[in-house]
Order: sequence, then C-alpha cells, then structure tokens
Amino acid sequence: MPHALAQRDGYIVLSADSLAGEAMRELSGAWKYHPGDHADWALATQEVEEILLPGVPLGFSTNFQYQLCEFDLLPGDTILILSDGLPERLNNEDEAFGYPRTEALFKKSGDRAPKEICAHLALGGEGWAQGRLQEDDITFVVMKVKAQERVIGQER
Amino acid sequence: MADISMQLEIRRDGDIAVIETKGYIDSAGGSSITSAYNKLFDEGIRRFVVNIAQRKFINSMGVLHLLEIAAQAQSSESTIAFCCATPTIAKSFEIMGLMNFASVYDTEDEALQAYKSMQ
Repeated sequence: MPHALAQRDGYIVLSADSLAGEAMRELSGAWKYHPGDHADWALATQEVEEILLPGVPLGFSTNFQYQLCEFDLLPGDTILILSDGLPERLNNEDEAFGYPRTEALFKKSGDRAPKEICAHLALGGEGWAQGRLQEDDITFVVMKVKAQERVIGQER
Repeated sequence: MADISMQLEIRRDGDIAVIETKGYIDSAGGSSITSAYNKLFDEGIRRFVVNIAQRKFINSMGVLHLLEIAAQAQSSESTIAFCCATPTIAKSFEIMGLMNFASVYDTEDEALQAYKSMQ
C-alpha cells in the first residue's frame, strides 16, 4: 500500500496501490499540520520527498501490520496519492513509464491547482503510451495545504 | 493491447524449481503461478524461484497471488524467491510488501546461488 514522496513546501507523494478507507484515515491522522510555521512556509524548496510505506494489497489473507508514518505538513505542501497505474503504464516498446518520470512530472506541476496536477500527470502517461491502451486503473488524489489568510491585526 | 495470456516454463535445478513467467501477471496470470506452485509443492518441491524477466507488467491482483504463495511458503517450510523484475516492478513489489515475505534477486543465478549457499 502506501509509499510516499514529500516535498517541504513541498510535494508529497503517497503511492497507494490499494488505499483502503481505514488506511486513508490512518494516513490523515498521521499528517500533522502546523499553521504557525510561516517562516518555514517562505522557504520553498520544491523538492519531492518520497516516503515508502510497504503495504499489501486489499484481500491478502495473512495478517500484515501496516506502518504509520508521521510528518509535519506546512502551508504550500502538496500531497499526491497515486495508484501504480501511471508508473507501470507501458508504451509500444513495452517500457514502463516508471517512478522517476512520475516524480519528475509531479515536481514540474506541483505548484499548480490539484485538478491541473492530475491532468498533467495523466497527459504525461498518454504521451508515453504512444496510443497504447491503458491496461490498469490510473488514480491520483492531490491535496494542498493552503496558506493562511492574514489580515493586519487579525488572523484566521 | 498487450498479449495478456500467461505462459509458464518450469525448469529444475537440482531440488529447486524455477517457474518462468511469460505473460501479463494479473489475477489469471497470478492464479496460473499459484497452480504451478501448488502442483510442484505436492510433488515434494520446497524451494522455488519465480523468474519474471519476460514480463514488463504486473498488476496488484497479480502481486496479491505472489504474496499469497510467498506467505504460504513461509508457513509450510518451503521458500520462494523472485528474480529479474524490472526496476518499476521491483519497486511495486517493495510498495506492496512482497519483500516482507520473500527474497527478490536481480538475476536467476543470484537466486539459485543464494539457495545453494544455504545448503
């Protein structure tokens, strides 16, 4: 299940083969958002950090202890959760798109709106496939940590 | 569209069975590997190498089958190793926890040597 890439102000990728509701709740519980860290927020690194959390696909009959990962989120961070559909997308030469290209695409588009990031990733896969039909589901979930609105003398 | 049929070639190296896959490892393909594993297990084989060099694609249902036989091997005093995965498939194995249940080697020779060094 989930593995992750993260970027401080910042893109985070959770590559989730089968992100169950329970796991999703665990993950959301693990992300700690610190709205007071405005100084850090100004330091845009635009680096992608991967956090790999091995997890078995749904339906596995043996007990498996999922890992819990905690990391801080800051305003400006972007989180990407994706299935293995894009990294494993094949072109006509039977070459997979791969994880490094996925990361590079994300890095390029991580400052855009979530919908645009999804479209950018999907388009990258289409271009790679050279017309070859998609053979697996391709799923993206993009979340962004919004910056706080600040008004002089007042903070919301 | 890719050829989605699954073909298996089974070879023996001493008491080790090598199952070489030549197909799309989805639910049906994974099921074929499971059947081959069970048949060989019933014949008394306890050491297995699954070589997936011929395939560039595997999906999560296929990995689920591989996980099931790896877990079954762990609980039945047999061992199973996988080899020759592409970098993308190797990473998917890692993400999906296969390495918690089985060894993964870059080449078939490495897998066989690992078994032989355990003798």
